[in-house]
Amino acid sequence: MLQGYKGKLLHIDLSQQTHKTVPIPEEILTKYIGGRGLGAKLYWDLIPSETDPLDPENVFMVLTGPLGGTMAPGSGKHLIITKSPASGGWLESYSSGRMTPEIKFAGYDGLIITGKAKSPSSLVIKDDKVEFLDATHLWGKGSFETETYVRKNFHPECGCLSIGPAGENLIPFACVGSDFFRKAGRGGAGAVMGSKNLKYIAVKGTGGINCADMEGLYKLIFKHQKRCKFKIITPMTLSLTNTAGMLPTRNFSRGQFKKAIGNIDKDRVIDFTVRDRACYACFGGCASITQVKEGIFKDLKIEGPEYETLALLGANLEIDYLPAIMKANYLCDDLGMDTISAGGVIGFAMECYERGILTKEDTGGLELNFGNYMAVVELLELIAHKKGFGAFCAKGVKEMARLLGHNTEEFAIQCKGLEFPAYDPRAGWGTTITYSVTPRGACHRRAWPPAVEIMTGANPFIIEGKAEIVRGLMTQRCIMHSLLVCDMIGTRMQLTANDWAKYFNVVTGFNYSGNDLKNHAEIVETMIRRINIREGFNFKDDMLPKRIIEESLPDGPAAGKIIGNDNFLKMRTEYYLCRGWDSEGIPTQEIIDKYGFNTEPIMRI
Amino acid sequence: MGNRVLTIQSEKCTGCHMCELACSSVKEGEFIPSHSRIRVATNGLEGWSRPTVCLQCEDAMCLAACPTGAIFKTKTQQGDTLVAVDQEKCTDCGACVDACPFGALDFNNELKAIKCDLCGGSPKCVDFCFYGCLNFIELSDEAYQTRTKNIKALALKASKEINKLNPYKRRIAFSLEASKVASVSNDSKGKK
Repeated sequence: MLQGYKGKLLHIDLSQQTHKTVPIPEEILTKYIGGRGLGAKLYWDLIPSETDPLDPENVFMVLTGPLGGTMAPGSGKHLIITKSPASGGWLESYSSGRMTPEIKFAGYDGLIITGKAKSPSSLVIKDDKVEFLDATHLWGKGSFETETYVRKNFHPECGCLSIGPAGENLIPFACVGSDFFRKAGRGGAGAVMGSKNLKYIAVKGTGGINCADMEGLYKLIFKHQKRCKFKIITPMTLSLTNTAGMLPTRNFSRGQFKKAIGNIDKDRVIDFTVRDRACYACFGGCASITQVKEGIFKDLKIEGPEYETLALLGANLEIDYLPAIMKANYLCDDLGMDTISAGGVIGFAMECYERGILTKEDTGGLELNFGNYMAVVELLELIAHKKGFGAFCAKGVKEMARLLGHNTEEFAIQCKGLEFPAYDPRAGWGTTITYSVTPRGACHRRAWPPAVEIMTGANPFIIEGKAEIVRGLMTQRCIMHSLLVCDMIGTRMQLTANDWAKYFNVVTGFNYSGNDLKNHAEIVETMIRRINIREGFNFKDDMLPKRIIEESLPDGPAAGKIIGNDNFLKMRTEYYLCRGWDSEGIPTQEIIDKYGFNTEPIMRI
Repeated sequence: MGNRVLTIQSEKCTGCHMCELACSSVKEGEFIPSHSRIRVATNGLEGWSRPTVCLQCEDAMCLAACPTGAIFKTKTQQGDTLVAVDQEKCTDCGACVDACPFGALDFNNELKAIKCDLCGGSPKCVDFCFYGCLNFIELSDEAYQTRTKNIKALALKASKEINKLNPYKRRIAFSLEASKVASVSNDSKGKK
């Protein structure tokens, strides 16, 4: 028996109200490890390409990794794998909280949820007991009220995933909440739960997790904790991106927002901070509880806001009033919406409004000028409930642009239906690769090129070598996402693949090398590429909006510099080739054979 | 030696639960927080967490309640005051769990009472508390006496509620005050 793992998944069929355990063959675990890797294998085997994301046949998976539930730093992450309502293809969305440890303590490596409940329902899992409970009384309620109910009526210290009205209303950027303020935000996983009539999932486990070499694990923890003594919070990123000219401002039409400094940056967030928080099993402690002391949002208390929220619901909307961003953050969390996409959607709507493409008549009286934070607060509620103008915004920028016409798709800042995170690729060209080729759509967490282009002085405005840089960064992240540890603390600890192999080995008893893990990452990236190709994607979908490729930013270090289509395509093709795919991004037969995709066992449920 | 106590500065708790994982790993040989001797209660919406662990009371109510004499006062190998359980004598009657006003005792799988034994004088939870919430420090005689007095007063207060609250609710209700029984300077980093 492998240590660390539980060796089985819990399959729950909501239509039949049945459940059973599904063993995972050791061969699959050693090849796919867990988290993203295992998710790729399960997606390939279990989700047919003809299935619509909101069909009962779509599979909603909550996965853990071998390190989950142990003391390995940052291992309190869980991963949702499903077909994306935003893109129609592969979706992986990470969050933290109590879910992963509780799933493991309950005796599973993950949950696989299929079917659709007849009426609003919930799943309550305590060790080997699974209950299907009515959730009609919670339908329409926010995530906070739902989770409060669960903690009061089931267990105060359980893992709990829940959706708000946005998920119920099938919005393609609805998130799945966990531990109140933690969100699997991107790609619309909340809408998949909503489509299954599943309001919440609560898990409590009382069992334990073995570890092959406990003393070895202790030693690694002490060694690496020493590298993380200073508190680092994501709002620190804001002054960095502002200086680099990549802070999205006015719907990505500018790269700097001068009013951000001193108003919505890390110093201001620290002023508002009343307490530090950490994820389960992490010594990084990067979360902050903040509270508004005065003004119209007085006494509002949230966990956050993080950088992405400050940038997209702040700078991108030209809002420099921190309490308003916190209010928007609170609303998104409670209503169950991704703050990144919500900021992208409203930014796009504001630009259309200021250009006259949308009028006050269209918006139902909302004055959607940049900076009007009261309109943002109002609009977020309308979006989540699909009311009035909110119903239009609830479609996401890609669909909004398609419906509006007027060439608005040129500044609809998205890729594969997923709105951009808060780094303008024009101020660091490596990001064009990550945003375009990341399987779930525009994403900053599969690789973070600013780490190289901004922080170590590599030239951000050249194309040479960027594909290899991105591939290397993606490999590191893929290893962390399969072991399922947080890439924030993982990056802070400056761990190499060899270091991660040590964590993996002390917990599981395997004997992996860093190169084995790097090879694993290649297998997984190729597997996910195959998934999206099977879903009907091709290189034409790995495209960025015209504003990003053919226009320059007016300010900052990137002022006047245009990436240009040729440069972009060159970087993208280089990336495909260095993965062992052909120039159109299709994995070659040679590599498919090399990775043994056609000779491995098939997972069935 | 002899006045060392495990102190809790609950405002520094971040809710990482490393203490529970460390405790169960050293006591049970696996990560099994349901058997941890230290328990963290969390309120994510209000944004706080607080650990509860045995205060090693001078006048221990669990000891007084135990009908078989399984709970007794002793010293750790390193000479620290300890309230301990003799597993041989424990009959799983639950009297100690009911009696502890702070909810610091529990039962394990074999239905024996389990509680913090300070890991013989080197508590593992403290080693793995990276936020300075848990410390194991030597108090002056005077400070130790004050702590004993404070615990007594708090135990008295808490016992009035004892029938109304299960151990979890006792932990929620009294963990904040229990963390203040010994005055610890805010910059105390203990042994780290």
